[in-house]
Amino acid sequence: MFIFADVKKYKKHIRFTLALSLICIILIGLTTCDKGQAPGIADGAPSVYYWRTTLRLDSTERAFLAQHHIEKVYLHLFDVVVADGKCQPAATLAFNDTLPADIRIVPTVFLTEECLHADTTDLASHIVARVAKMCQAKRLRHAHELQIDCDWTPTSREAYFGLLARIRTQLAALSDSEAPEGWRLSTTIRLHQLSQPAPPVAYGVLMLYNTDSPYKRDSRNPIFAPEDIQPYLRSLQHYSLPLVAAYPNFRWQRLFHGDEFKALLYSENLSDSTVYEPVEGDSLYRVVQGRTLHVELQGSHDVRLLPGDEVVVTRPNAGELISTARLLHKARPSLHNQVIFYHLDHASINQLNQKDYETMYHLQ
Amino acid sequence: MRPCTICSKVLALLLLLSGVSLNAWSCTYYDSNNYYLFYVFEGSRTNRDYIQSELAQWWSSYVGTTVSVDDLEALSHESKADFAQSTNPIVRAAYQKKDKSMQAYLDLLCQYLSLAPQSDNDPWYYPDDEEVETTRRNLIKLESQAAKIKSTKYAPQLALLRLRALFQAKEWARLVQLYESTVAPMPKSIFRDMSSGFYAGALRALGKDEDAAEIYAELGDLHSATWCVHDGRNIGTLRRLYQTNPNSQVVRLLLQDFVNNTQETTDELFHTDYTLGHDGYLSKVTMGEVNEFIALAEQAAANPQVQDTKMWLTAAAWTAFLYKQTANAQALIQRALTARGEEISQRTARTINIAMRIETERDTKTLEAFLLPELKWLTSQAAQAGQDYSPAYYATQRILIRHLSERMTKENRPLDAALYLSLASRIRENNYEAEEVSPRYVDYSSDYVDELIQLDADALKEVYAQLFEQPHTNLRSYLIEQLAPELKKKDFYNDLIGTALMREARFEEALPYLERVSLDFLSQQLLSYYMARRDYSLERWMGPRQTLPEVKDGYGGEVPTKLTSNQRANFCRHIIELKGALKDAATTEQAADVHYMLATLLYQATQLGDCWYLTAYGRSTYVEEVDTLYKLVNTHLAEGLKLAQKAKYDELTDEFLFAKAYCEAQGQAFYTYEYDIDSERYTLEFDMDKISLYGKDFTALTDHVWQMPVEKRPDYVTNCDVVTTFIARFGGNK
Repeated sequence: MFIFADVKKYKKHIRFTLALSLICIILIGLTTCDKGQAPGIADGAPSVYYWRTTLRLDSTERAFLAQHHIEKVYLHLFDVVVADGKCQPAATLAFNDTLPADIRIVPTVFLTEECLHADTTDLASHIVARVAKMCQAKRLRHAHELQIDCDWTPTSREAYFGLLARIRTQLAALSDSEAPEGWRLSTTIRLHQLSQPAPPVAYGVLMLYNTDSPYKRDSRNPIFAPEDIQPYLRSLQHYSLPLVAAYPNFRWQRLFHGDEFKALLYSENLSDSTVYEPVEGDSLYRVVQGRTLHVELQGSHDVRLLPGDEVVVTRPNAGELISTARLLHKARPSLHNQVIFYHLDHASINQLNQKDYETMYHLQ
Repeated sequence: MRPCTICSKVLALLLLLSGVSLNAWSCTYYDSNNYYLFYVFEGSRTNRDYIQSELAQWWSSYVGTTVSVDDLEALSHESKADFAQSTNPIVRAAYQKKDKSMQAYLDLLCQYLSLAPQSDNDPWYYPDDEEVETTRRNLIKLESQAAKIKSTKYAPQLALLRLRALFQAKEWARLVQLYESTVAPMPKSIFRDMSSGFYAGALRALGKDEDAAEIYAELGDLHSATWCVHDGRNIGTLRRLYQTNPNSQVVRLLLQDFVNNTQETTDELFHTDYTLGHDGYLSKVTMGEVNEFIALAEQAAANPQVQDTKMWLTAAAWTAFLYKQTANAQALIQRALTARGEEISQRTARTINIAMRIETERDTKTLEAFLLPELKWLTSQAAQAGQDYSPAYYATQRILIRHLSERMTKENRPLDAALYLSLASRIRENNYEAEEVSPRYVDYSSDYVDELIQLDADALKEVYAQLFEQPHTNLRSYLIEQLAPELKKKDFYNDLIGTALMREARFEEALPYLERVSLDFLSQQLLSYYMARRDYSLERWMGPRQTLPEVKDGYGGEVPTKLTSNQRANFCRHIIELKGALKDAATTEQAADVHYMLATLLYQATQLGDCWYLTAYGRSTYVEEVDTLYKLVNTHLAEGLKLAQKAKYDELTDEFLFAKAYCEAQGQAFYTYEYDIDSERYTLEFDMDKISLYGKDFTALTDHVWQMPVEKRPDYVTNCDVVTTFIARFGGNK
């Protein structure tokens, strides 16, 4: 212990202590810098996904792009699914409109995990050729990157990484004056994939949504729950691939009978008071008249609404989004070199207010 | 110590079977039969099968011989250059008839078919703008060429071709103009229907969703129509569209949708405890709408412009009825039956009138007199449906099962309840399952038999009397006529009664019924397979389960087997004999022996025994506590044990104690067998509560056996793995 009354006597000790403290501070700083140096991307910009099957923007959507200075749109071009035992494109985007000319477009393709268990021999060339043809046919300027979205698992990892490597090779051949070295390849990364080796791509988009199952009624917010993200902080700090963040702004209308999940009601109008009665503001409705929602409305199967069924409306909580984003920022600042919202859609845009978007797009 | 094969293998199998049974319970399919009754649309004229069949019919008539769907599809491979050598019957007929107009039409049709997008062949293909534009120009050129062909004879075909070309070229406005000027005035035909589909599609593309819905509904494509007005499925939209055009097809669609939604709601509210069921919703939301709807229907019925007042009145009647406005509903349906309207509305009105009468007519004779002709009409309608599900089929199923059979059950008329179920099954089978049912077997899982099997023996005797001894009303005669031949035989009912009496341990009464059952009948049933191969006198607890190689997992693989005697009757005789022996037993030992034999036989005849088929027509390992036979087994085991102990009859005492422990163990889950893949053996997982009833049985058994000298302890006890595990866990110094 030092006796401060006799400073001179212990001057040497004090110097030593200060030096030691400085070294500690530097070391701590280095450790922090190590986190801070987790790779990011150089060309980050406010971005958004466009995931509908028809490209048509209304005034609200155009205003959103302008107001938030959106520079990049990750444009979903098609899915790849297994049909008749073969990988085939599906849900191809119909172009009924154009995006503002100054926006960079990143063509995005969703691949079902099932495809990775099918024959993928020619899949890379099929995907790249079709994307290139679509970009050329629809004059998608500034498109020099392809993003693949796939919920791969450890069992399909090898097939997926192999496919990505082949796609990357194919993309290298797509060089032009704007991209002399060919196109870049990126991919989505789900939270559970952070514990796996990184895929062979330029960077990943960390999907910070769909954090829990929508089928459980009493679970945390299944779209975005901080508790479901926190366990991945450590993996995030050490993940070797450059990452950027994608946050949700969409809502789900989940139909339950008691606690039993029945369906997601995609396009159902809950303000139709002849069918739905609001129970808790805009977050819970009860069905008051039975009816069948045909497959055309529901996507995969007919859904029977029964009196007493309830529709739980779930949306991300802005406060939780911002506080969790700040936590993630501390763990890996480069994550927010670019923030992407999923997705550009009139109804989704209104789930958060302008100030929240501003905060999220400019996280420091 | 070597695990006892008696216990381990047998119990593993039993547990396996228990699992099967329990799983089956949790997945039981229950059909609520809450089909819609209100239909005012005939079948769709847009589905692929209908279109192909109509086209094939038209071309057959043109060619003079049958033209197949394949011939139609093969046109896409034809081209004008090869027409002269073509083997396609359509092309050949046009050339043989020297039909220039048809040849010109076929030329353009083949050109159109060849312009199909390349993506049809290569799913990865994506056309660039130039290709799209070239195809579009070719389509427009083709449309102009078709316009130049002046043929009144083939005007519908040519118009259809022009519309198809314009549709592919996305020339919506031109398409609409062409349809309205040219096709709309044409008489109905398959070509006009197909044209209407393209017209509706163009209207949709132009954002005219309600106009498109009108066309789709007129074509019977209710899904597309509903999609176009999916936010308008409410009384407000219905009223608005009615005021614009009271005879609109969309009004018809929304009206049908409203009534069926109402029915679905009330089916849930009043017939199940599945959903909320409180009155709040009726008064708060739905009831107001219902009253508004009925008022609108009344208004429409009084409107001279409305062509189908029958539809409106029927809709109002059924809605009012569903919401308990019975008197109003009855008055409305009577008006509906005589109002003006379309034929399908008349059929719907008549069907709904039947349903309402069944629910409201209290006088049985009046109801039956009304029902007979109506049921005949209804079932003939359902039969006409053939392999196609039709409104008549669904309505008949609902009326027979949900209205008639349920009413008969409430009135304690089990035979009639079963007969209506049988009629519903017959219609189902005739339409869809005819090949699956053998005329010789009784289908013991059918709704009719299932309804009867649930009755007790006395109720079954009453059923027999009603079927064979009492005069029938005309209605019941009609229903009995519809029964499958094997269900009209006395053998079937005598067997049913005898078996029920056995289940109730009334063996003396059962015997005469069973003796009346012919061996021929019995040998045709699948249970004969078991009767010929199993022995009810073996102690279930002393040996392995009596398995049959062909029977997997406890069922399946049975074939009828020629019998030389009725095992059920034999069993009854055996029990009667033993009961006599018990009465005449001279010594305690003798009485104890007889108790043991009675317990042995009776246990085998329970659902847990090998000979479950003696008292049932199907097997479940679930045994109700009230099961008469099972209770009797326990009584004989308890009384016999007392006598054996009293007489110091050690050998039998061991057997009783073992049997008691075995029987008690069957209903408990204190041990399971885990299969070890490496050793290919089952491992016993043991978790017993010693102070439980079964714990006490095991304690009594082991206490008794382990007090004996080692050489006198019976192997079936000392080798049993469950017993030895019990000893290891609780046996102390044993």
